[in-house]
Amino acid sequence: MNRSQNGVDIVAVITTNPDRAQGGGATVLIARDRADMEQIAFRTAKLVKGMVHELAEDLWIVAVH
Amino acid sequence: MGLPLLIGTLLGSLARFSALRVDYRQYPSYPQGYVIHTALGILGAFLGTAGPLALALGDFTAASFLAVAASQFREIRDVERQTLQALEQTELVPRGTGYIEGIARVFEARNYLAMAAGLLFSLGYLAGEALAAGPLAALGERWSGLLVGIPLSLVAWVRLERYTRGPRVADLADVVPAPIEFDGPMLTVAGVAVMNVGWGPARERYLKEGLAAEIRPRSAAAKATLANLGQRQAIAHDVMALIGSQHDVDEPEFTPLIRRRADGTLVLAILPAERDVDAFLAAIRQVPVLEGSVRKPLQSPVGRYLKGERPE
Repeated sequence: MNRSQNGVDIVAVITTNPDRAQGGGATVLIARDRADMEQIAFRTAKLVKGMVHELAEDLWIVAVH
Repeated sequence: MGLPLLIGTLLGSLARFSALRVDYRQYPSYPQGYVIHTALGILGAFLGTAGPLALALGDFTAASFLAVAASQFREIRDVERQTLQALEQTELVPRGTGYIEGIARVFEARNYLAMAAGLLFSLGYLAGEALAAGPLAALGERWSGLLVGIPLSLVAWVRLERYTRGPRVADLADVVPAPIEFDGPMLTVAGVAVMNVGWGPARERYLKEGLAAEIRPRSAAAKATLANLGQRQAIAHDVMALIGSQHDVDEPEFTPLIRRRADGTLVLAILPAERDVDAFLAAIRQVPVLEGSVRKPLQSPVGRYLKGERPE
């Protein structure tokens, strides 16, 4: 994490499709299915007081603003 | 000189006190705030009154105290700014530096109001005294002084207070309700993408409980003024302070954001504590227009081109 752009930190990338996320600034979390992805995203967001953003159907990020 | 000094100080202090209002800003509607500003108001009124009276007695050094007073009052602005900035971290929806600066200026200006009421009273009193030698001879020096001084001071009080009140958002723009829609995860109001809400239940709450509005500026100057980020933050803060918010620190998706369309229209979507459209619109309309955000581009030479005028 901590790739601060305009005060926005992308904390985690949550996806059901590992091909869509490569290593980078943020932790990549692989979910088993959509329900799992929702749960992981929500819990991560609560933990870091961040917000879930949907970039694509199977690719979500959690960002702190 | 005791009587005019007393009355002038009293009038000025009353002018300052009447401008201390208890309101939703919760500032300074606390006893401490009242004491601080009343005390400074009395001081300002006293200095304002004493200046001309001292000059009339031939004491020129005493008048220079007016300059000391002015620099004292500048500090009021600093004090207000620092207090509000310190409180900023405890606000769910911050006021923003633009709003803080505006509030701090108002506090400074209202002290000058107290000073001006005192100053104009003593000037009027001196003029009245001089008139007692001529047209107002029947009244005697003291009464003719009061007769001229008191109305002059009251006029200054009323005029200045009205003048410093300033415009509201309703004076610049039409505020109309708008529906909240989602384009995929994108929260959209009147065609403007406001934010990406990825969490499904949050979207449902916006659709069920949310309120949104369009703020349509009526002129090019209003467009430029409302585009100011400080002004937008002030709107967000005031609306949430007035109608209440459901959001908490770990729910950034419910932070009120104001976004701008290319034509200058602002849109705002919120999740209010009380879902009442009329209260929501009224809250937006009453937000003060910040002095620091006011733009009047059309009054410049360049702006005249934009209005279609061509210089010879």
